[in-house]
Amino acid sequence: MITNETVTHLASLAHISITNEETDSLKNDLEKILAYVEDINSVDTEINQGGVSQVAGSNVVREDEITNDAGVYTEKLVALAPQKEGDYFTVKKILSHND
Amino acid sequence: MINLETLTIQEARRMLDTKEVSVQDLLGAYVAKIEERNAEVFAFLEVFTRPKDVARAQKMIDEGKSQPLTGIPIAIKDNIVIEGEKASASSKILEDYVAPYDATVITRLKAQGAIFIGRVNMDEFAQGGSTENSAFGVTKNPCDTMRVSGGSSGGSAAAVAMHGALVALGSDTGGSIRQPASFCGVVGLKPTYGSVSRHGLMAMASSLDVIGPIAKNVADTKIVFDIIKGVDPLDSTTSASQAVAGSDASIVVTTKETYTIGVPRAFVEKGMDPEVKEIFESSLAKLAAAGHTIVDIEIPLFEYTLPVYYILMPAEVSSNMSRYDGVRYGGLIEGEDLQEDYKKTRGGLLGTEVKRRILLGTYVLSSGYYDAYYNKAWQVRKKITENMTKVFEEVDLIAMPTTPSPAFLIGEKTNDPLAMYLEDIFTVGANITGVPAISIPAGNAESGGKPLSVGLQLIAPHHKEDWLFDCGQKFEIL
Repeated sequence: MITNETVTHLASLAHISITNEETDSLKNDLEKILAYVEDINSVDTEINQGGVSQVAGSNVVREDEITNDAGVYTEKLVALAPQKEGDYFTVKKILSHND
Repeated sequence: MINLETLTIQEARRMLDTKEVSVQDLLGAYVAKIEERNAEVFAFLEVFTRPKDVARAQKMIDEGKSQPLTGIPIAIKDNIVIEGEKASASSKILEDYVAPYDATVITRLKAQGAIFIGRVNMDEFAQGGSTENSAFGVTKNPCDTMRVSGGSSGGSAAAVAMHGALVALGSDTGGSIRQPASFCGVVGLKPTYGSVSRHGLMAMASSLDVIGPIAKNVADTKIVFDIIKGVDPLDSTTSASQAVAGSDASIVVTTKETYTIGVPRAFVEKGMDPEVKEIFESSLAKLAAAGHTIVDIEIPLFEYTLPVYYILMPAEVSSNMSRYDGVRYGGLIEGEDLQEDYKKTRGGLLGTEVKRRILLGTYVLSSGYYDAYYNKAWQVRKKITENMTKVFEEVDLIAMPTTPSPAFLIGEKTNDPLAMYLEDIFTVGANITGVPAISIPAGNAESGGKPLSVGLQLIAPHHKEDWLFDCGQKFEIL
């Protein structure tokens, strides 16, 4: 069961502000889509077949070594940030003095 | 005069190499066509001005060092990055984003001396099947501008169909190259998962995404695919993919005189429009008359590919979209505190379909539902993939229509997300199982006197793109 509260909770988990109007239509959409995809539960998959880790193939990893000189991309990347100071991205204060 | 309507890469290559036309002449002809048609069709978000590329390509030709794509104008989907150019994924949140690096496919095309003519429209972050989800406007179907171009690579398909580029790059997560190609009457290839590097492609659903070409004929898609494919240290799935196929970097596939083509009858006959069915049946009859063997097959559980897709894809979308938070790049709408910054930025700058998929993905990944949806979907995906592998022991290729119906009207499905999702019924299977598939124009349905293109989809085993090209070229001339 999807309620308006479910939608509000999901939006909060996903860090998305939504309007009341959006909440109503998203609730209806999610209900319909979930009712459709729930079909897969009628497929018999053996117990203990595992999840993603056993079926998604194996990871291919490279050596953990540094491939570029420190700081070579810094200027380029920081330039893209909406708020920055020197070589840093800046965000609003997370912990206030009293926390 | 250059006849853009019939021009192919090989013919353009001949004209450029014999100095019948210059790189600038060819580019100019395409830019003129864009100026003529783009106001109506809206395939291009931006036409690039890159004189250095043009000069370099001309120099390569003049020095006798031309490559297959030297001087060839290519349109690039707006979710593939080119250093120094805007790339917005047709989203407000990246409206002013200028890419600081080249995608690997771009690096490979640059080495060829290819010309990036412009960036083309798409559904926001490749999420949609009609290009109606672009934040900047709808791309109309060049064959009938009342209708959608398809999506999400609608701009790529429309650009080629309106002769605004010789070829285009798109990306395909659930049908986003093949469906618009089918709607616009052009050829679209979804390569084997992992055969083309995704480095520099904005991630949508990482276990499904792949970049591929859209062109006017099969030969042109092959030329582009052969350039962009291959192992890339910056995308580890490319090496995993090659490891499966064999250690040799260049996989040699022996083509055949005739192919055994399986048709999953029971599956395709549900929900196919009568006009699509007629064209599909006549395509099969032509292939049979040409000596190919057509057999009925069943791919067990294949009817579950769409529900599996609409669980796994949104789950991956919800993770991948978390990077758009207004901190490191992209737009920012400020609130009272950091939490509010995130919420307002994402709420205000992401479109409805993107939000819908993020919430859906957040739901199926949340504790209590994870096993019933996400894990279950992966298990079903594995079973379907095994079943597909077994089918390919019996047949060389699988044939299906690309879509259940021809291009629909603009606005027809915008209020019913599920109806829009059902458009993907015949295409998601190749993404779920990772195999390559191609859509080739097979005939025209008619609506109000206007021809509406319908595509034939051929699907091959992993890394057997050459069978798609070979059989596809044989089909094209029938």
